[in-house]
Amino acid sequence: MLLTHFLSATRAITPVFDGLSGRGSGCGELQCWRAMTAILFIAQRVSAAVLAFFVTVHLATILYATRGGLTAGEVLARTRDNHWFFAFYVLFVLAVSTHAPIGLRNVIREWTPWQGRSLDIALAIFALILLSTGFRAAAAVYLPPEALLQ
Amino acid sequence: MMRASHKQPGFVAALLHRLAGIALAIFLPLHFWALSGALNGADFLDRFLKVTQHPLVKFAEGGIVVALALHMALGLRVLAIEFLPVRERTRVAISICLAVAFAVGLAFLLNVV
Amino acid sequence: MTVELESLSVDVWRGSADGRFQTFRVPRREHQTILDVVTEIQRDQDATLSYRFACRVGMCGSCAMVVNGRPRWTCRTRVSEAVEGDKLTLEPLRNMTVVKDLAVDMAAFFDKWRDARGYFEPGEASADFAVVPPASRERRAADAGIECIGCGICQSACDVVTWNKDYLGPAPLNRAWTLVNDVRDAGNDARIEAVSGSAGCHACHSHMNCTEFCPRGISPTYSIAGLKRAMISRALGRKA
Repeated sequence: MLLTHFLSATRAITPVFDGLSGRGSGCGELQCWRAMTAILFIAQRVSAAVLAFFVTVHLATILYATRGGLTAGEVLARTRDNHWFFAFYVLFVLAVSTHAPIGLRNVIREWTPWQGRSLDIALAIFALILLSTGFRAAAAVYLPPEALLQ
Repeated sequence: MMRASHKQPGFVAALLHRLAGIALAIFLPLHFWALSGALNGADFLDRFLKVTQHPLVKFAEGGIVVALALHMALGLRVLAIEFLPVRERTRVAISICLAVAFAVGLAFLLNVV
Repeated sequence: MTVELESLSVDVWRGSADGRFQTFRVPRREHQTILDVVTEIQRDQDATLSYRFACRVGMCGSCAMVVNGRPRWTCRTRVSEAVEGDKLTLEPLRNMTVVKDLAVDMAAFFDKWRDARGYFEPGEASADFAVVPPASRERRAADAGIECIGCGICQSACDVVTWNKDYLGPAPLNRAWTLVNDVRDAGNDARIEAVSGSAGCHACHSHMNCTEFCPRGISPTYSIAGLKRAMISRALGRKA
C-alpha cells in the first residue's frame, strides 16, 4: 500500500503518464487526462486512509502534551533523537503533501474559474513546498542540538 | 431564499469538510515554518510559544484542532459511504462526527486555557 | 364539492434565464396538489404560462419543478405539505436551460446520459436466455437504482452539477451503475472508462442532495460510490 502511495504521490506531481492507462507509451490526450484524474482520486483516498492513523496519533499526542501548558523544551525532549517520531513525521508529511494539494485542486476547480494545466502545476509546486518545509520541520525537531545549522 | 439543497445535513457536512480542509491547507505551511524555527535553538521555539499564549491565538489554535478533527471525521464518513456496504443514517452519522470534533476541540482548549 | 378555505399567493417564474416572478392568487382547496394550482393559473388566469405535465399520477416525471426551494413532482406534492403560510414559489428545475417559465430544456441532461453510456449494450447474440438470479449481488445492486424515470430532480438538486458544467450528474451515473451490474451487458469496459474522467464519478462529493430529493427513493450517491469502486478495481487491475 505504501508503494501505491509513493507511486501516486509522484504521479500527482507529474502530469505525463505512460502505460498506467494500459495503453503502453504515448497515450492519447483524453486518455492521459482520465488516467491522471483517476490516479489523483485513488491517491486522495489512499492518503486519506493513511492520514486517519497519523492524525489520530497526532491529535492524541497534542491532547496529552498540552496538559498543563506547552514549552519548547517539552516538545523537543520528546522528539530529539527519537527515530520513531522522526519516521512518523516524515511519513505524515508525505501523506499530507499528497492529500492537501489534490483536495485544493477540487475546491479551486469547482469554486473559482481557474482550471487546466497551470492549476496543476501550481498545486504541484505547493506539494513540493509542503514536502520541503515539512521535512525541514521534522528534521528541526529530530536533530540533536550539536547538529544545528545556525 | 436559501435553496433547500443547502439546508440538507449532507450538504452542510460537505461544506464544513471543505472549509476545514481549506483552513488546514493554509495553516500547514505556517505550522511547518514555526517548527523549523527549532533549528535556531529551543529558545526560538520558546519565544514563539510565548506569542501563542495570547487568548486569541489559543482560540484560533482550538479552531484548527476542531478543523482537523472535523475534517478527519467527515472524511472517514465519506470513505464509509464509498467503500463500506452499510447505508448510513445521515443525520445520525453527521451528528456523531460533529460531536467528536467539538469534544476534541474542547479537550484541547481545556488543556491550554 | 370543494370547500374554499383561503387563498394562496403563488410566485411563478416567468421568462427564461432573465425573467421575473409573477404573483397569482389562487383559491386554496382541499387535497389540492401543486399541479392543480399551476393548471388553475394557466387555464383561468394566464394562458401564456408554460409548464409541463403528462400522466399526473407520479409515473412520468414530466411535472418536476422547484417548489419553495425543493425540487419535486408537482402532481404528487400536496399544497398542504409544501406551502409556507399561504405562500408558494414555483421555479423551473435548476442546472438546465430554461425554455420558458417553468419548462426547461432537458436535451443537455440526456446528452450526459449518453456520455455516461447509460444505455444497454447487448454484445454477441446468444442462443439461450440469460439467467439472472434476482437475489444475486449484482441484480440487487441494479434493482436498487433501476426505477429511475429520468425526471431530472436529482440533477437539479446537485450542487456539483452547478459547480462543474461537465459533471455527468447523479441520474446518468446511477443508470450507468445499474448497467455495470447488468450481467448481460457487454459494454462495461467502455462504460467504466466513460464515468472515470474528471467529469465522472469522482467529482461526486457525497452531498447526498440527490438521495434526499429522489421521489423514487433511489440513492445515486451509493450508485456513484459503486462506480468509484469499479473504477479503482479497474485502474489497479491494469497496474498489477
